[in-house]
Amino acid sequence: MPHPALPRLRFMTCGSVDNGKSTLIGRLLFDCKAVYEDHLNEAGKASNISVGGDPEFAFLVDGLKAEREQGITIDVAYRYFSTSRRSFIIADAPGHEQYTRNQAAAASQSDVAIVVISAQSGILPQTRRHMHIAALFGVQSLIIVVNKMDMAGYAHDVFTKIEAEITAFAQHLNIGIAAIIPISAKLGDNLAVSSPNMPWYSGTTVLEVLEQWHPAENTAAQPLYFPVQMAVRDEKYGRVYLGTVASGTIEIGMKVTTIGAGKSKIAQLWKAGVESRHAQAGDAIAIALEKQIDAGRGAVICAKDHVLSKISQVRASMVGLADIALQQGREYDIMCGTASSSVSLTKIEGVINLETAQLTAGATHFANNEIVSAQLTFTHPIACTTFANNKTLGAFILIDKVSNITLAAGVINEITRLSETVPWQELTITPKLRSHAMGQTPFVLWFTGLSGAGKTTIAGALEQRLFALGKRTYILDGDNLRHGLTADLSFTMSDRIENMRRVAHTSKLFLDAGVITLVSLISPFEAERQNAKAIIGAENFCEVFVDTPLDVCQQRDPKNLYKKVKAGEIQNFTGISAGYEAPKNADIKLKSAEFSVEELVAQVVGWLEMKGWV
Amino acid sequence: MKHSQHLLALEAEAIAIMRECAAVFKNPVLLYSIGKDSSVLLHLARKAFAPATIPFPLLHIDTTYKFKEMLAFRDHAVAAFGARLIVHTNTAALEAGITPFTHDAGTYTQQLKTVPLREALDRHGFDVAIGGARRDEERARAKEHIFSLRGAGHTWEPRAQRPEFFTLYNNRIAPLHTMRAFPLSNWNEIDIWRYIEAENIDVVPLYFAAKRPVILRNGQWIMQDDARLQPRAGEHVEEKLVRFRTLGCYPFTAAVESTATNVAEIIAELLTARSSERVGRVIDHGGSSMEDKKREGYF
Ligand SMILES: Nc1nc2c(ncn2[C@@H]2O[C@H](COP(=O)(O)OP(=O)(O)O)[C@@H](O)[C@H]2O)c(=O)[nH]1
Repeated sequence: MPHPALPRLRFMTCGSVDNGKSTLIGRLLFDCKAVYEDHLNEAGKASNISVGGDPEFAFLVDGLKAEREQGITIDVAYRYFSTSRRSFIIADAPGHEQYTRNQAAAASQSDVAIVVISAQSGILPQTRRHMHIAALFGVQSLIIVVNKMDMAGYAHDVFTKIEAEITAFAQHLNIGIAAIIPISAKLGDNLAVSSPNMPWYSGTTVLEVLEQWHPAENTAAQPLYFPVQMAVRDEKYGRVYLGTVASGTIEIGMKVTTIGAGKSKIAQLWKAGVESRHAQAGDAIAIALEKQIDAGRGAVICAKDHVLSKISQVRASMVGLADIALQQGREYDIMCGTASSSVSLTKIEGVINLETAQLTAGATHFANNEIVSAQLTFTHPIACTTFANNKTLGAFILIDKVSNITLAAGVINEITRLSETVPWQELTITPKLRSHAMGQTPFVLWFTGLSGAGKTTIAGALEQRLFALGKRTYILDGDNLRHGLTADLSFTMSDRIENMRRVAHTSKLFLDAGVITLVSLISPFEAERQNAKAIIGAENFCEVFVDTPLDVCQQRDPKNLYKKVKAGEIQNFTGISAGYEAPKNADIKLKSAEFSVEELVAQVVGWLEMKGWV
Repeated sequence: MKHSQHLLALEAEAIAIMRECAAVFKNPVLLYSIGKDSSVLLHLARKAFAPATIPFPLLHIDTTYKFKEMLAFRDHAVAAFGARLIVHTNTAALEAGITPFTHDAGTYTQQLKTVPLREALDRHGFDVAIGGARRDEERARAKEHIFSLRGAGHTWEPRAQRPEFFTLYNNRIAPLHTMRAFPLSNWNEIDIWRYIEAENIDVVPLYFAAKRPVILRNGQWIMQDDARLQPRAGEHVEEKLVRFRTLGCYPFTAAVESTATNVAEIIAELLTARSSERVGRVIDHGGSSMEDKKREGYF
């Protein structure tokens, strides 16, 4: 058997449940003699049925035991087979609506999608959803199969009706159709062999299309993008950069650079460990440079005249992958190419309705299986680009900072801000000079706790003490700020996140100005308090948890707020109808129900003295 | 020999995964089982970091029931690559009298493979173990991720596994958690042999057909590698022209009748094969499934 000439093809199947996806794969494997006898026996045992001597083909592609018991498949399964012409990888994902994320994952691993439509039921909502997901997550071309033609009497008009409808829909999605084929997955018509049952169809079989498919030729020369995966030291060559070429070609002698670094030249190149003169997109290479440049993991090495910029804001489409909701305004870790950074989900522009391709605005959070269009702002800009421009440098995942869970995966649709457009102005008078002139080391005391816990009272008394000690101080009080800086914000989760972000950045400015800053803010979420700490700098930040039981706060009710909540006048109230995440590792914990204000102030001053901050 | 585009893609992908392990984790280890997949893995590890050397050690779990030829090959191969090899054995289990002849396959695997693997990983604090498992080896592996998360105690929870998008691997782990990485996930048996042929990689001679002393037991040819395996009543040792499709512990690894004495002949044989390579693994057919073994921490 000759070596297959075309590169391996990665494809997925999609379509509504029970339209025959598993049967199609099982039958295709069977017809290509890609099923071993022992697997066939196992499948026979698992299905416990064998229809007319044939095994139930769907059971050949079934996976984990727990899933089989539930009668569904819930993860992407990969299958392999080859013919004399080509090798194939099938990404097989379940079709139910609650597994949109699995469909998206499979699409991200596929060049082509086979869309299975039952001749009996026609195009269903899931069919449209899956086609849309495929188009979003990188599938380049669709093969539409109208299945179960045996149950529709192999009738031509059934086929032509579906053919017309699906062609019209695909045009919306901006994705090409490689072929539309009438089949019976169960009986094998037009799958691997041409069917005698549909003389009106003269096109190719599904297998032929798969064997011959290749991506549209891109004749234009692509720029070099070489994302550095890691650098190693070699005795002879010094620093050697390892990674996979994401775009273009690279060769010895080429002048290269990366954004923010000097220029250099490729001195030596290894392709899969073997010395070579040049390499191209897809090759795993190593390079040594004539002159070392500052390029660690995440840097993208480019041709000297075609340097990829660092990006600080993008518009992206992404799918939620976990039960933890992503909140507008919150910070997440991001991996894109080989770079890692942190982004804030600045604005959710809308949830994408996959059936109609319309955007529904108004959401401030999204979770599992929802696909949204949103704006992301990088905390530390990275070199990346749009997905249309490059699949490797235009795709990303978002990770929860605490649990490490992958929360979302997405693709960049548009660059909305380059990092160079708003440069940071370096000023000659530095924070250090200012604090020196003021004769103090500034810091931020961040008071968190329920409404009525005593934050403002304690902060006020403490400020008097510090002022008496000759310190320059200021209080940022959450209630007072709501009259101006944060007047536009409500008490929804995403607005609270934004509220904390603004106060954190304001505190940072006061800190830079040399002022000791006391923040009095309910700040109910651990993630945003941690973010404030990161913005301000851990070395200048002290989290003070005013730990007062809810019933004590309710009795005090200094602003009559708890009464109003009871009367139904106020919604989203912390501790009652909105959550408060108590700090896990507060620097100082103040029990306001057990000590007097003077005693509490003394506790804080004692801590500050111990730290040497006053 | 020229590589097919298919092999080149598999090679580049495996190298990228191996580099990811070295780039992101503090203390990677390569699980070296001496078989053909391990030979390919080791070869790829060298290519991944060339011109520099392989930046992590190899770990071999020795049950003491491996074929003699395997051990000889191991020491020779590892020396040739200049890699550091750690060998670990559950001596307590051996002293407790656990053998493949007196205990069932489940107990044997648990005590002489799973337990020592966990021990060795814990003792050295390895946070990622790179293994040669392939998704097409067994149906239950079809959904295995390229990076598979293991909880404290090396437990495997299907629901905790992270979706894999594009080539973006979320490799963040909490203390006590570890990962398994499978650079050969997308290879199949023929790919392995084609690559061995194209790159001229050394493998244990047991893969090639030769006359070997075997006993027919439960319909499978078991090789008498040493005197610890004795014919039972009604059995006898005979010389047969056989080879192995997979290698493990000799009492649990069945030989197949074959005339393939070189790589090209093996490829030709596989192209017409009607049963999967794991058929020769006695371990896979006893009671608990591969999934159950994975939950317990078997690779
Ligand atoms: N008559 C007929 N039945 C089919 C055909 N394809 C699939 N089926 C049946 O439709 C049912 C659902 O198929 P399955 O492959 O499990 O669908 P999936 O949910 O899309 O994977 C099974 O009972 C199959 O036997 C076909 O072409 N003709």
